[in-house]
Amino acid sequence: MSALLQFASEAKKARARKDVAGFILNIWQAVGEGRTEGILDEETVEGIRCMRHMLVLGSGPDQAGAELQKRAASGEVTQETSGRLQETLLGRLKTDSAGTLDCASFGNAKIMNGYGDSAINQIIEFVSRKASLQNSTTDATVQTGMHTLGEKEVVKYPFLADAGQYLRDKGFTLEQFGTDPDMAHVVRNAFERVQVAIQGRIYGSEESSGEAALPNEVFSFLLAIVLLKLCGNQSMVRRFALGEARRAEKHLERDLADMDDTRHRLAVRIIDELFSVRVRREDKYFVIPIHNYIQHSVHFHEREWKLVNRHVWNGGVHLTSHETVRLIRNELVLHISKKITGARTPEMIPGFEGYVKKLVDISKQFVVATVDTGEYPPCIKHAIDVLEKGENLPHSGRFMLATFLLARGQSVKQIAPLFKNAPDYNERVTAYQLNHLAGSGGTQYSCPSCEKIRTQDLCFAIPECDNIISPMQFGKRR
Amino acid sequence: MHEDDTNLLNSAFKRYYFEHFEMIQTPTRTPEREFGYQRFGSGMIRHISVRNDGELRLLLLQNVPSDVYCSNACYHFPSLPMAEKVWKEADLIFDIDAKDLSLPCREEHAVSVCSECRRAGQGQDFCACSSKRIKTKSLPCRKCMKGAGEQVDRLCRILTDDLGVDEGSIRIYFSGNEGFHVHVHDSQFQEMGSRERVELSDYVMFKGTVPRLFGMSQTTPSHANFPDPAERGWRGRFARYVAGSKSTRNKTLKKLFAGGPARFQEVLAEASGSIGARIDPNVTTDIHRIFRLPGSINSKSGLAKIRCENPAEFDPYTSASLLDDDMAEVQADCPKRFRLRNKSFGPYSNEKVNVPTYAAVYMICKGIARTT
Repeated sequence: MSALLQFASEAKKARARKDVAGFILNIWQAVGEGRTEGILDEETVEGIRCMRHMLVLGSGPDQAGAELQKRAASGEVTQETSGRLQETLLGRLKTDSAGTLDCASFGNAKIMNGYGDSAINQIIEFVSRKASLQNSTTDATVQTGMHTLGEKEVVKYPFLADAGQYLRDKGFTLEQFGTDPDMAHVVRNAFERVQVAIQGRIYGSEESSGEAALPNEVFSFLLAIVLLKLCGNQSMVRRFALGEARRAEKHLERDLADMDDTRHRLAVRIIDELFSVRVRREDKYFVIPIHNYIQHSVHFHEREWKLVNRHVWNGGVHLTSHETVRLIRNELVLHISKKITGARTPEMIPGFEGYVKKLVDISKQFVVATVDTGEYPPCIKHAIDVLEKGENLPHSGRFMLATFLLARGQSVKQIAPLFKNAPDYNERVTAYQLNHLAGSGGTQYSCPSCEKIRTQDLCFAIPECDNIISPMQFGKRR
Repeated sequence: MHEDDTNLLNSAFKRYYFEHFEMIQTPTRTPEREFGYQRFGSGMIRHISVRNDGELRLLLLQNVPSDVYCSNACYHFPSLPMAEKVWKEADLIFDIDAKDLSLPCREEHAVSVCSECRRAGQGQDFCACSSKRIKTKSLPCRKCMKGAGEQVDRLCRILTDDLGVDEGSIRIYFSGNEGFHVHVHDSQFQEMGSRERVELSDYVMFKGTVPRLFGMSQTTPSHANFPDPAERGWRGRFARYVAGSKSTRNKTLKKLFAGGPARFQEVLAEASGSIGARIDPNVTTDIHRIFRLPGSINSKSGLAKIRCENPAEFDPYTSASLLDDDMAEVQADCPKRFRLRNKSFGPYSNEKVNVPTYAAVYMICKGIARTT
C-alpha cells in the first residue's frame, strides 16, 4: 500500500518538475508490477501504456495505435476502450502536431499529463478509501491518506480529515444536525465559524476545553463547509479558506517551534507533504533551501519577502517559525478552498435555511465596483517619452510598452508609429515584432509585472501606483 | 560587411574550427540542448539539435558560422518550436560586461566609426562626411577586463558563501569580447523558472533591499539593530561597506540613521553599485536563451570564448586570440594602439598594412579595417 503511494508521490514530483517522461514512467512502473490491478480503470492503464510506448520506445502514434488494435483483437482490451483511446488520443495527436505525427508535440504532453493525473487520483482515492475502512473501528484517530492524526490534531488541522468519513465514523447524518434540538448549537457554531472567518478574524479553538468538546470542533468545520456549499458563493469560500488557513497557521507555527519532538515533526511533515517545503531546524532558525523558498515567496508582493531581504547563507534561507508558516499561507488557502470546492453540494437540509439565508445576505456586501481612469502608468509614459525624443529605449522597454498597449486593446497599426523615432527603426522589423507579441506565433505575450519592470530599471513609480503589481492595474480604483 | 571582408573572416574561422576542434566544449547532456548559429550577413538559425561532438564538428565546418550558441536549458525535444520543446531545466548563467561598468578608461579606447563612409574617429557626434550615423566600437583595455574580472570574483563569492553553490559547479569563461560568462551547473537552481531567477539576480546585485533589514524602520529607527560586520550574507557585507573601521563605527551609524528611511534607501541603492555584482539580469532570468558556445569565436572581435580560472588576472589578448598568424593585407583606419599576443599594433591612419590574420580579423570585426 505505502509502496503504491510512493509511486504516486514520486510521479507527482516529476509532474511538478515538468518531467513528463519521468512522470509517466513512474506510474508505468506501478502498472508493470501489477500493483494497480483493480485500482486503475482500463482506459487509464491503456493510455499510460500508449504514452510509454511512444516516449520510451520512440515510436509514432500510429505504431502505438497498431499495438493497441492488436491487444484489442486478442481480447486483452475491450473494443470499446480501444476505440475510445484511438479517438481521443491519436485523433488529438494528429491535429495537435499539425500533421507531423511527431509523438513529441506539446499537445502530446498535455494528453500524457491528463492520463497520468487520472491515474494518480485513482491511486490516492483507493488508498484513502481502504485506509478509512481499516480505521473505522478506532475512533480516537482519523486517517487522512497521509497521517494518522490524533483528535487534537484534527481540531487544529480539520482540513486534513476526510469530512464525510469522519461524520459516518461517529454515526451521524447531516439531517440530524438540522432536526435534533441537542445538536442545534453545533450548527450555530458552524455559522459563527464562517462569520468570523469571512470578517477576517480568527476563529477561537477550544482544544483545551476537555475531550468532549473535540468532536464539536471538528463538526463545526464540516458543517461550515456544508453551509458554504449551500450558499454557493465563491468569494465567501475564499474568505473562509483564508480565515481557516490563518487559524491553522497559528497552530502550525506553535507546533513547529515546539521543543516536543512529536509535535515539531508533525508540523514539518505537514509542511513537506502538503506543500513540498523542506524545513530543517538550525539553532533558533528554520532553514529552507533557497529554491524551495523562492517558489513560494515570488507570490508575495511585499519587498520584505524578496530573497535579498532575507538571511541567506550556505544555500538556505533562515526564517523564524512565524515566517516559515506564513510562507505557505497561499498554498494552505488553496488546499482548503479546493477541499470545499471539491465537496458535493447537498440538498437543502431542514433547519439550515435560516443560517444559509443570513450568509447569502452577508455575501452581498462583497461585490465591489471598479472604475477605470484610462490613464497610463508612469513607466509607460516614460517609455513613450523616450521614444518621442528619439532616444534609445532598450529591448525590454519596447517589450513592456508594446505588450501594455496591446493588452489595452490597441492594434499593431496603432502602436507601430510610436517606434518611428527610434534610432534603429525599421518598419518591416517593427511590424513583425509587434505581430509576434500580439500572438502571430501562437503565444500572446502579456505585459511584464511591476517586479520585472523594477529589475529592468524601467519603473518610475509614483504614489498613484499604490502597490499595484502590474502596470495593467494602474488607474483602476475600487 | 563587404563580401571580401566576409571571405577573409570565413576562411580564418574555418581554419580555426578545423584545427582547434579540441577547444570546442560540448556541454553535458548534448542531445537535450538547443543549438543555433549565425553566418556573416544573415539571420539566426536555431532550434538545432546535435547528438555528439562529431555532429557539432560537421555543423561548424559545413556552415562556418560567425557565432555559435547553445541553450543553457535542457529540453525533451530541443529541435521543435519553442512552445513544444517541453522545458526540463536550465543551468544558471551570468553575463558580466565591461561596458556596463562605466569605467573612466572607456572613453580613452572608444573608436567611433561612420556608418556611411566607414572612416574612424574618436568621440565625435558626426563624421567629416557630415553623416550623423556613428557607431561606437570599443577596443577594451586591460583595466576594463580587470574591472570585469573583479565583478566575477565578487559574484563567485556570493554564489559559494550565500547561495551554497559548490565551487566545482562554477565555470568561468572569457566571453570573447568585453566580459565574462559564468555558468553554474548541477545546482539547486536548475529547475527554477524565469520569475524565480529574478530573485537570484536581484540577490547577487543587492537590489530591491529594504532599510528594515538593517534596523532602519519607520517607527523605531535604532542602530542597535544594525548588523555586526562579522555577520554572514548581505547584512554583514553591507555593515562592512558602510560602517568602516571600528573606531568610527558609532559616529558613522549615528549619521546614517539620522537621515531617516529615505536617505537610508539611497545609501542602499548606492551600495548596490559598489558591493553588488554588476551582472546583466536579462541573461540570468532567461531560461530559453541560447548562449555563446564555449570554445567558439566571437564575431565582434575574432577572439574565442574560453575558460579562465582567475578572471582578475586573465589577459584575453594573449590567451583568447587563437586565429592563425599568416600575414594578411588590410586597409586599416585605427586611431588607437592595441595589443594582441604581446605584439603592439597601430595606430593606423587609413593605410595599407600587412598584419597577422588574427590582428586583421580583430580590426575587421571592430569595423576599423577592410580588405584591400
